[in-house]
Amino acid sequence: MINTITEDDKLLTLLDKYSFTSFNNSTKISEIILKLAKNIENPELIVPVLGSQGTGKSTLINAILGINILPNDADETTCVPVEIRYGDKENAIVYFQSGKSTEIKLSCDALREFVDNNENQGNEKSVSHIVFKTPNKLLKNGLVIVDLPGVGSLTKNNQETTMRYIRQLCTAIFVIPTVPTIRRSEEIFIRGAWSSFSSAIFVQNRWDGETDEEVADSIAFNSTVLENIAKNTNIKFNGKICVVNAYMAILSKIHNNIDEFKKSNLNELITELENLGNNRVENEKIYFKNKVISFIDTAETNIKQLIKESQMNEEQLKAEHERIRKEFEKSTNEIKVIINDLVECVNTEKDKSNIFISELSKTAAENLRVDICKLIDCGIVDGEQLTDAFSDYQENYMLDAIEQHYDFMSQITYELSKKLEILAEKIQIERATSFEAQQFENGQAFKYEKGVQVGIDIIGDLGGVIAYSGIIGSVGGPVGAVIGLLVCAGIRIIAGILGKKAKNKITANRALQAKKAIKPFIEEFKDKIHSAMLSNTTSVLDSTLEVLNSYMNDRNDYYETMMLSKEQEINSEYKNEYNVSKLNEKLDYLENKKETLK
Amino acid sequence: MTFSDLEKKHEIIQKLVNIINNDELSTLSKFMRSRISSPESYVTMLGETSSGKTTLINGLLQKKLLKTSAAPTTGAIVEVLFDANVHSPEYYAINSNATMEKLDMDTFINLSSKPDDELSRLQIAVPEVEGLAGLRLFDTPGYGSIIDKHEEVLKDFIPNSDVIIYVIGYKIGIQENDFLFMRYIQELIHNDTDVIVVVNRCPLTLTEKDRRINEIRHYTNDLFHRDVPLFTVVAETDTSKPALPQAKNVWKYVNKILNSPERQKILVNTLNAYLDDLLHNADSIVDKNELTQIMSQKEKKELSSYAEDLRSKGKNIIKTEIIPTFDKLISDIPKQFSLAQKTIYENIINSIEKESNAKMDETIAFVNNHSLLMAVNRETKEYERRLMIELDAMNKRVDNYLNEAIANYYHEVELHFTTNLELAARSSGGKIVGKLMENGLKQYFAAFGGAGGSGAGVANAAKHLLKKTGDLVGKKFSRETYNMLAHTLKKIGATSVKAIGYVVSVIIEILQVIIEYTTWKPKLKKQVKKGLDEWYEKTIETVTKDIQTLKEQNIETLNDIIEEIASSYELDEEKMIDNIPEQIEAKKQIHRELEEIRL
Repeated sequence: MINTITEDDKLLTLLDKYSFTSFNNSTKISEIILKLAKNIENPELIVPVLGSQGTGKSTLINAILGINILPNDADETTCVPVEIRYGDKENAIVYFQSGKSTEIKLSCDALREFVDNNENQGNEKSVSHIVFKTPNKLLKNGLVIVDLPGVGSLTKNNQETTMRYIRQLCTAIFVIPTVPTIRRSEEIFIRGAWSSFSSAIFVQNRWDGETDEEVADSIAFNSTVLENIAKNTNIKFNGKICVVNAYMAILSKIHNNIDEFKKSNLNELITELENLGNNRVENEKIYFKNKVISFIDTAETNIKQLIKESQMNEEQLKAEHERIRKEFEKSTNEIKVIINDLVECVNTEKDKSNIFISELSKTAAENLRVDICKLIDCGIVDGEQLTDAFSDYQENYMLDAIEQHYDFMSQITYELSKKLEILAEKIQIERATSFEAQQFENGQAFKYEKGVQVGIDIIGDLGGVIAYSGIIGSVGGPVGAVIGLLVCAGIRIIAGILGKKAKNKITANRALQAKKAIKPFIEEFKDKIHSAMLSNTTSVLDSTLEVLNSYMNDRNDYYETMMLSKEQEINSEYKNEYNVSKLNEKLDYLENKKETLK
Repeated sequence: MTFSDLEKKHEIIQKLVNIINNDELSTLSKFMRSRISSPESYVTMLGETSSGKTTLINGLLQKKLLKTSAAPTTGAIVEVLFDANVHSPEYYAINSNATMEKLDMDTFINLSSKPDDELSRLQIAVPEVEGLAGLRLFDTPGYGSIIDKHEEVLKDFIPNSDVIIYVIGYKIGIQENDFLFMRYIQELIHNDTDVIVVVNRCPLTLTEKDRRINEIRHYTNDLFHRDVPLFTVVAETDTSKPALPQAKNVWKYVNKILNSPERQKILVNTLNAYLDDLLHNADSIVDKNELTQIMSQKEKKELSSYAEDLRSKGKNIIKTEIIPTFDKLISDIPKQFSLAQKTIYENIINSIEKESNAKMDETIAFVNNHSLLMAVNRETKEYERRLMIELDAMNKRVDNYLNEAIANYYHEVELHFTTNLELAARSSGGKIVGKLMENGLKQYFAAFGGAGGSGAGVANAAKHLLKKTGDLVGKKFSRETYNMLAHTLKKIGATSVKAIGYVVSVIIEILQVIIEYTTWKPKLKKQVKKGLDEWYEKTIETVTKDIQTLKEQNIETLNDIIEEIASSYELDEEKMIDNIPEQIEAKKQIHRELEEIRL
């Protein structure tokens, strides 16, 4: 199917000529189509594995691969992302932030030197990531499994790379604990991260010694927690938690014990991953097909309009253009009202969130100060103990703040998405009824699809998880872009602050000194959470404003330039283009092509 | 709108109430009149035992009416009521069964230090002090006693207060319990509740730079997250007479807050909303009477069968959802807390092991003041979160079921009205459906202790949120449940943290015996274990009780809501009212009158 499109030069030329007005869009349709096709040929599906320390992330990945390659000692913390992808022969390459890379020996110990936080503290070796290639058939259809640093071990040095994987908006595996069940800090992390992925697989890693009853109880509770998060963040959750005994799986695989392997239930997860890969390719194909059909549709409308115009005399043509102009003007004004309302709403929310964030960080800092001063007043002035206590308190109050911040953001997202629905509907109607609007919106849909990575998942509704009913699947363009932005709102903040604990030691030997010494740390804490939360909201809201404003500007520009060119068209040799029989022939060609696609 | 507008509005509504002649409605109306003519304000004195709260009140009254002594005195809650109609002090006991009895002075004094089981609180009515008309001032015992025995302070007094006066004794300064208490208060109060701090019994030679005062100021500002006005009251110098500190600065400030235009405006607006509610109640009764007259016996029977159906659905959901969910939660308590205990223990052992043998004293202090508190707090929070998640999920299930049942019920009723030609012809027919009684006023009244309610009798009109009904029946249910849940959660937190006291005291035991640097670690660990065992016992005992109470309240609320909706279209088959045309006419007339004067 794909070849019949990519190798059809006539079709591509026609689409290039008629499918788009060149306005604001320098890429040719043919190029887009070729690029999409290439994606299908070389699919890459990144699957990050996330989970807090001690949930057995690395063991699980080892089990999936069937080899003991990732270091997974008890006190192990991964501090560098490890990418595991298909390769004909096994090798491991370390990529440094400087851009250099080096091949390393294939062993747990060799990896440990770069991956383990004890050997590479705070990623002092400045590793960007490690790529491990292995001829595993599960990975053959483009699956890339990524072992990400645990939430607690994010440092400035590995945060950027980690975020890069998270921003890919792919399917993630969350590894969650059985005993104890999902704790508050994990819940907040999942809440922040989940919505950034197009879908998620939850794996509960079971350890030997955990009774069936314990597992059943914890599944019940964990799914309630996940349902709750899903509801609060408008995510769809299928209610499924896959229980796997990764340790048993890897052990039985090495010893070739089939019964034990079955018992470990790893196959359930592997099947899920296989489906994921296959579905991805299928979905990409469907998306490709729909995209091409929509390009053809536009070209057809365009040609039909030309045929219609060719039968008009100069006066009629003028009148027709006048009609189109009025129509576009009218709907532009209507959309302007909606956009203005949205912009106003975003601005109000921005003001509100600024105030709220200031309050949150002030409250957190004040609570922190009370606790730490109280402790000092009790005679604890020892540097080590004070530092320990300080980071305990810090984490506690930061979680409070983040949680409330998320609630607030959810509210904003909800309200904005309600308003966006109105805009989406309006654009949809306009598109269906007005020729000129369709031309314009197609260009817009394209513009934002490139800009926002979520585009493909949301607009194409490829198992997208965001349940903004009414918006999904129906609209691209600015609405899709804004939704994409809102969806990404959570994750940054977690990575931004959870990463760094108070590394600096507080030293003093008297209460009064200790209080003085601690002051700058409290200020730092306050500033840090303030700026993290603020940058989270402002980046989202500002980009939203930018999208909305530029959409409106484009509309106005389009109006000016296109209308001007129409007038010029009439004044010059306006009928040169109109060879009716040729146009009809082109139309037939497109129509046939479309039929074969359907 | 002003108070005189409110009075005018009430007068007009009263006319309709008179014609309707319904006992409950008349009581509500009377209650509203008294709230409008003598508005009340609430001030609660809080603070640790022996901080001198009672002495400050005596000082305000300039007479030693309340008992004070060196040992902790206030066992009961004492309410001081400033009433213009009272000429000399009158003493009352308010019992937990909501009855009130007059006392003589001696019994009053006796009960105030040794309250009996029946007593809810004591009340003393005193002549009005200038500027404090209608003030109800509450004197409370210390934090420990409140958590154990006086839940109403947390549930009713603090949330209903216009002003909280937190008293700290200068000599003792701010203590562990003060931190816990103030954090607790901060979570309970509304945004518009004023908090002031009084540092009592300060030395005469107090300067601006006084370290202790500044320390208190810093802490209280941080704890309440605002600039808390701080007042100092100097210790009495003449020790031969009973202490009656005038504390003029304090009371002047309280007076200013209570009479501020903003506060008055809120009060007027809320009272106005209650008046609307009263009118709404009256309207509903007229409508219902009208229906009773129009409907045939058969139709009435059908309507009441729908109501019965709704009731049985309510019973069903209680049996299948609420009871099992709570029972599971209750049976899980020991398991959850023993898991928590294990985690806490491991946590503390870690922080002990980490230190060298030489750091004995520091580590014991650190465990006492930080590790223990932190770990217990964290685990308790986890439990609270768990509880909230489970109940939230239950609530959603119940909500879904109920909303459907209620929607069905309304649907049936509505269908009924549209098929009744006579009703359909009248404009009232269709409109009545969905017009749930706005029971904000009734609630306020009940909280006040009216209608035989077991409420604590403290209900500040301005603080008592009007319940919005309208089309979202489900919302209403959630909010009610949520409020109770929020309270229970806070209380669990407080009990658990308070129970750390047992651990601390056990640890302090080892400080009594001199221990050696080589053996202190195992000894400390042993004591921690022993203390945590006690913490566990005490905590699960109270938590079980709290959740049991929550369960009962939950069922009660649900029954109330169902009953309220079910009975809204249940018409008395026998009842005959003779003046229905008159009532209908009066209803129209009253609305016209109110419209004319735009009230």
